[in-house]
Amino acid sequence: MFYAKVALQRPNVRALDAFSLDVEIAFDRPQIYALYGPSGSGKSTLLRVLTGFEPSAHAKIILKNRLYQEGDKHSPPQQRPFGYLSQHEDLLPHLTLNQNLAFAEQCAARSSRTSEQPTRYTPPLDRSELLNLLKLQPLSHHYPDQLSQGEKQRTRIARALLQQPQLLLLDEPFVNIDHDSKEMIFGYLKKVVERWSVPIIFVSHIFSEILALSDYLFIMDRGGITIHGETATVLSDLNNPINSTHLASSLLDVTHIQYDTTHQLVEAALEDQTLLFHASPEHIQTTYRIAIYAHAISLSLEKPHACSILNTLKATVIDIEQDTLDALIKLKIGRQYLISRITLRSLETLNLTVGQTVFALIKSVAITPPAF
Amino acid sequence: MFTDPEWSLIPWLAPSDITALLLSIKLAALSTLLLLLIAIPAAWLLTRAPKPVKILAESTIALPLVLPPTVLGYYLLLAFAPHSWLGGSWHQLTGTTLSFSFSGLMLGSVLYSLPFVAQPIFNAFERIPKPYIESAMNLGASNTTILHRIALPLCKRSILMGAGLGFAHTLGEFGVVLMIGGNIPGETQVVAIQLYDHVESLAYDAANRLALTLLGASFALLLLCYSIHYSTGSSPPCSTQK
Repeated sequence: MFYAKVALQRPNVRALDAFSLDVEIAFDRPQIYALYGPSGSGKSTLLRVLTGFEPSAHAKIILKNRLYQEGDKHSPPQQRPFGYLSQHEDLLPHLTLNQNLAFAEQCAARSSRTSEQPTRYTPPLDRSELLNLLKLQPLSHHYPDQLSQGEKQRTRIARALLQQPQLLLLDEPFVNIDHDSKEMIFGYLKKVVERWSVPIIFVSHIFSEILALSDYLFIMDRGGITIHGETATVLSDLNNPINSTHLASSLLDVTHIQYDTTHQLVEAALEDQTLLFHASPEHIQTTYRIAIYAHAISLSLEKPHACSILNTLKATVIDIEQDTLDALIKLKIGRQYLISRITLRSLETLNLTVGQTVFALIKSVAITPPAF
Repeated sequence: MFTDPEWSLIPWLAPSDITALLLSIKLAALSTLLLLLIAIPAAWLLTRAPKPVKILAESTIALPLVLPPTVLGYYLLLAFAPHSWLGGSWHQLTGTTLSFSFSGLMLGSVLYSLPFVAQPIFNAFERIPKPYIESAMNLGASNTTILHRIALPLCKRSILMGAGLGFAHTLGEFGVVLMIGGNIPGETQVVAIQLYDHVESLAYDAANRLALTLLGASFALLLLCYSIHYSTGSSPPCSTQK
């Protein structure tokens, strides 16, 4: 479906260090892909190469059996069906929200790209449907400077989608956006992938965004991809550099069983065990993906009684990785993995060994509420 | 009607002064229109040009600002000569000469006022935030669409400013006209030449009235230009500054 091999050399200019990008990305499913890495690792540059705004890059770019760049062939940005959200504000200030969206539709309709496009969406991504989905209807006559950051970002997402893109590229789309708007946009993006099968690549250096949104993760560092894989799989690899930081965490897929309205708790099934976590009534769904930080999981050899911790999961120790101060314990529950970080002292006290059965204690409040 | 001795557009001016003034206004209006038609697409293309081209083009466009108008006029006179390439082709096409004609004057004015119109427009185009242009390109907008839908609306104040300055500057044209236009009433006798004639013939009263009229008109025009430039503008916002 999508293949990109990108190489870019930038010599040392005006105190900026020389930079080189050498990356190969391929995928064949419409889902949400994340490019994660520190500033300067080349994430944004990679997106700019894909969109055609870095003419000096050597790249081979194929999407849905169509070649957009290779050697001397270089389709101009206008002919690439890649919706792109840069990090800059770019809604046209002299047009209302609705006019901005109409402009995108007109451009897409007029550009030569539409006739060449390998597959079109049926039904096409439609303005009124997007305005509804992204809750922009009431704002349609506002000018960009009358919109909040979150509203602007939703508008830009709608605008990018109205060009009927075959791929959506989002560069740090959640910067300066408050928590609630962010969660809302996470939900919309997931719906967009589900509804129209548009694959999304988003760039972020904020780990919680990766946890909440990404299905597949590319970790970038100094112009290259160091690790990639399904997000849950990458996270469960103890050797992954993220796991040596306080960000070490696990992603679990759970199924809804029932909802405790009084306490706003979801009771969900994780394999053959149950798990409780907070979710507001409007966020109830049939399945959830939840994230738990490794430092929020305690281990016990026995099932505790009279304890405030609501979740006690029976698990098997399958790997132990010792650090200077702490140990990471990889646990298996059915087909899913959980990572716990404990002190070396606890490791010695419990005398944990691979193959042993333990109880993972997880506070409900430590479970990241799912992005709906 | 303007030559009707019983009626006068500006009562304190003599009919010949009014003829000269109207000629100047006609010249300024047509030159400005022509300049906008040339400067807008040229400035737009120039914003995409490589740096050396920009430097060369901007220097060339700025030449009339620093050259004595007589230098420009001298070269135009050479170019307008019937045996020259330009003057010859013009003669073949129209049967008239460019020198000492209104058309020649217009051509001279276009060159003479070019920087006043082109510079504000080019600078405004250059100041359009790049993300606007890039996002439009990403949406599939052609270069012409970007000019019409983004650059022109965002830069309309600078374009008005350029047009106003070009108009006012052409109104005050003297040196170039002196070289290429001569002094034919209703054809090339513009208001600045008329004033010069008054002074030459020691008609200081008439000179004073005409000079004051021109001063007042130019000042009013510039006031209008700068008011437009500094107007805060209600919605839609049309500032080009990010």
